[in-house]
Amino acid sequence: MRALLATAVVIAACGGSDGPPRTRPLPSIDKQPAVRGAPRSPRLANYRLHAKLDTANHKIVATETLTWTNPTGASRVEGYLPFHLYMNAFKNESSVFMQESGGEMRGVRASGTGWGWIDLTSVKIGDAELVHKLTFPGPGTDQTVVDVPLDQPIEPGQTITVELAFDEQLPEVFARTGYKGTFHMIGQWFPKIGVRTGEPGAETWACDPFHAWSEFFADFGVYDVELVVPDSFVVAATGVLVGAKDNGDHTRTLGYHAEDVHDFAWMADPEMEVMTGTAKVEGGDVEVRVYYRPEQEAFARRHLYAGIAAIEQFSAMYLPYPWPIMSIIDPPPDAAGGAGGMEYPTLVTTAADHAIARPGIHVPEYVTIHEVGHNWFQGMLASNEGREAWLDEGVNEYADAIVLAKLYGERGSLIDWMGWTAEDTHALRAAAAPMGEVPSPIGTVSWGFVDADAYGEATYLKTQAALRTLEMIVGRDPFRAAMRQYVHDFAFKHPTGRDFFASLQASLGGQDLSWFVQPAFYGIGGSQLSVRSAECTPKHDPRGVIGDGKQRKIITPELAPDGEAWACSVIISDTGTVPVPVDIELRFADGTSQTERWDHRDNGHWFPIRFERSSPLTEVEIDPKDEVLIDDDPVDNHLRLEPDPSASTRAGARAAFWTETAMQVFGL
Amino acid sequence: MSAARRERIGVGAMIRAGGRTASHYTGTVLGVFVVQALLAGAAGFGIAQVLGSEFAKRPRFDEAVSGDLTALVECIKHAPAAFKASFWIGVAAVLLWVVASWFLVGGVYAVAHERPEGKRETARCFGAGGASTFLVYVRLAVLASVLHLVVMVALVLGLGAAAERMTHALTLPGLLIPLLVGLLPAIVIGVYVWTAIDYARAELTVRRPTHDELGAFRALVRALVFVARRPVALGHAALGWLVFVVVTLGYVWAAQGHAMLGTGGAIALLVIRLGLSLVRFGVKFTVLAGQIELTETRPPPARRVVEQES
Repeated sequence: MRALLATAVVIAACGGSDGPPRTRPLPSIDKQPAVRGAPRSPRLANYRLHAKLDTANHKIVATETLTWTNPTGASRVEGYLPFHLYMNAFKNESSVFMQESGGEMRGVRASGTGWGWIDLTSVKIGDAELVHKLTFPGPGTDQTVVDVPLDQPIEPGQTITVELAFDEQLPEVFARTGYKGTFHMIGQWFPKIGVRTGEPGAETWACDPFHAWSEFFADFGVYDVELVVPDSFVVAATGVLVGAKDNGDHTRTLGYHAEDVHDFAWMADPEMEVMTGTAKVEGGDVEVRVYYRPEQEAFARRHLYAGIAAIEQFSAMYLPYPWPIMSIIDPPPDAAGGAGGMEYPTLVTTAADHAIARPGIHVPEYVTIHEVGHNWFQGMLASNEGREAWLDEGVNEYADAIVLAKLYGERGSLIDWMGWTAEDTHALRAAAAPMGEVPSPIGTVSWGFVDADAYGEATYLKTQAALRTLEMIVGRDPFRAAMRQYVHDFAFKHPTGRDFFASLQASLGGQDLSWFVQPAFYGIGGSQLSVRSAECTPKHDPRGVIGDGKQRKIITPELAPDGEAWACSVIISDTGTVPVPVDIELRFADGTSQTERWDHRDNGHWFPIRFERSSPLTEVEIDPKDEVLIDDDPVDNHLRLEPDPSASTRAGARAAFWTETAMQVFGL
Repeated sequence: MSAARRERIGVGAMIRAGGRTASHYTGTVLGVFVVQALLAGAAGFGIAQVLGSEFAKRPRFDEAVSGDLTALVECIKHAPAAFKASFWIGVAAVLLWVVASWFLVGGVYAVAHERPEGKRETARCFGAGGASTFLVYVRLAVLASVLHLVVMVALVLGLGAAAERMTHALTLPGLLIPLLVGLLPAIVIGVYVWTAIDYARAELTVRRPTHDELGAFRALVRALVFVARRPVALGHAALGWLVFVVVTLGYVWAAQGHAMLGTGGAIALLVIRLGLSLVRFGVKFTVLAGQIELTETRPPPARRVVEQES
């Protein structure tokens, strides 16, 4: 008994202490070049950063050197240089971000104590210290954008260097960044210059405050980053590791180098393990690394499989992944809501690890595919995520569905579990609010949406549905070829929605798409197709009173009996706002069918089909392949003329059984 | 009451006694079961009519019933009122059964206690038993609602405490263990409360002829004390619930992947479900009869002495 007690005490003592932190081996230097081949982008904004992470207090002390070039042929830059200070979104409740979000994002509330902020301690252009001359353009007291005054204008083709130093407090993990316990996900962490946009010669700054439903926009460049972290921490970061040394004080300095990227993010955590695999891509292999806590190993395997598949599929469909490494961070479950599901160049965070996500429920894989896919749609095609969020989120969603279907089959691409199946795009449409109830068009700036739901439904779901519908309209192969061409034409540039549609139109032989694009992307609502009525009656000669006077004759059913043929009438209607040409399949009792086409781009909101047939009509189905995904309610697209109660009877029987089960629990 | 009847009896004796009663009064078992099945069937029929009126011409619903999750969500979005109506039909059937139970369980207890012979005498005993205790059972149900409130509080607190771990569970044990731990206080209190209510009802039936002053409140308090003092009562009831849960989960597990389509499949499914319900009902009947066996060993409540003025 005494021995047992002693053993218990020892076990309790061991269990109660975490022990000294485990020193991790110094990571191996990556041998691969940061990007394959020649420079891909203009490399206008190049950063050199040195950051020391205080893991106890979740603080960063850093210096930054920005070398920024005003492109040749652009307008002169005068007055100021605007920088994003994203971390100030979490400084207090007065920031634009907190005002708009109400302190809640993706179901996670901002911690009432774990605020985050960034303080610029020095800003120099040349020898001039400008830190006391900084201004915050707001609005209000918002400090997520700061203007650095310029003494001299920056001429086209001229390069300027800005030296900055800053201290930063990370927030408790929220809206993509921060800490949770020892886990640190560090994104949007350094002062980042805005982007010059507009017609050549008339550019202006695009440097919006950090809005709640907005993501990011930046120029491509080269990043050289030194990170000083405890030697017990595992680090993952954008780019390739080019230097690693122990500092002799239980810290180490890790040097990263990245090319042709427009952001740099990193993760530090002492408990992470790493699992690697290889994606085969034209031009060279890509090493895929999944960082995970040991208890998440089973999910890490699923993320690795999905990550490799995503890189291979996106590379094959659009453009080979040009960087040698993809890091996928699988945040601890209690940090996943705040840090999970975010994309950065060559580094993404995934999410959805949960017991109910059984194999067959592909939601974790979907998150990984979506985030990896962002390395094309925003990582390479760096559209303005704040002003045209659909151009990366929605277009990426469209591509994700193709990848999911290739991996898991069309029918069960999202869920294939215990007899229940769901295809990605159709499932998301079903889960979303009807498009007619979303009061903002797809092409709305992120902060112009009425609420987060409207932002999500228009930006992700309706865009995906509209693109799938457009694909059906112009043909699958031509549309996919046009998408590929768009990626090739605008990789490492800043495409806009106008560029996107112009590119598609050019690739599709110059055909006018505006009749669909305008209402679908820049108007509210969707299609509202339905079989309004359908009937078939036996055909017979006209009955009633025929002739006048003495010639008057009453034709009765006996005199004009039903013949062999059937007279049928079908009315199709569309009360929506987006016209879509559709096939209508008519099925008959003798097993035959015929297909009608309604191209209602310019001929009203209803379409009558009248015909005679030797066999009566049994079913009418609009869009039999279920491809018009912008249609809100597919249930009323399919009508059978004679009711068949077998399905409702089965449902009733099932309900009776479970009702009786409840009766046996609560009664007698 | 004989000395033998006052002996302490165990779970085995209660189960055997319950089994004997159930097998002896198969007509009563089947009769009450038929009432229950008819009520559930009527609810199912009503639900089928509601859904049929909305979807009999809509083949998308066929796909929903066949396991297409997207189609199911689309159908719910298409006609939410039909699904709400179906839900409330089910709830109404359950509530109706609860009310009917206040009569039926009185009949079952009366038969188990009086052990009548012959169909006519059994029917008379059942009807008289149910009728004579109906109102006092209603009062008992009203009083017991306070206890049900305690169960609900335990449920909310328990699940609230488990929510954090369940939200971040990575494995099924990681999900189910906190869930069960969270549910445990409510389950324990619930089984205790429901068992006490059963014993209060049983005593109201058994003592009715001799202790007509025994009211719902006193019977409930006595039952709460009795069940707390006699773990065998709780164990016996818990065993009944365990069998109920195991049989139901076994069916759910076995039914996975067997769509049982077509007319033959539908008939087979109906028979299987009816059989399953009958088994569970038989278990419940056996438990009720066993409770009478134990109740008969309880000392009767003290009679009130009424002093008459001379």
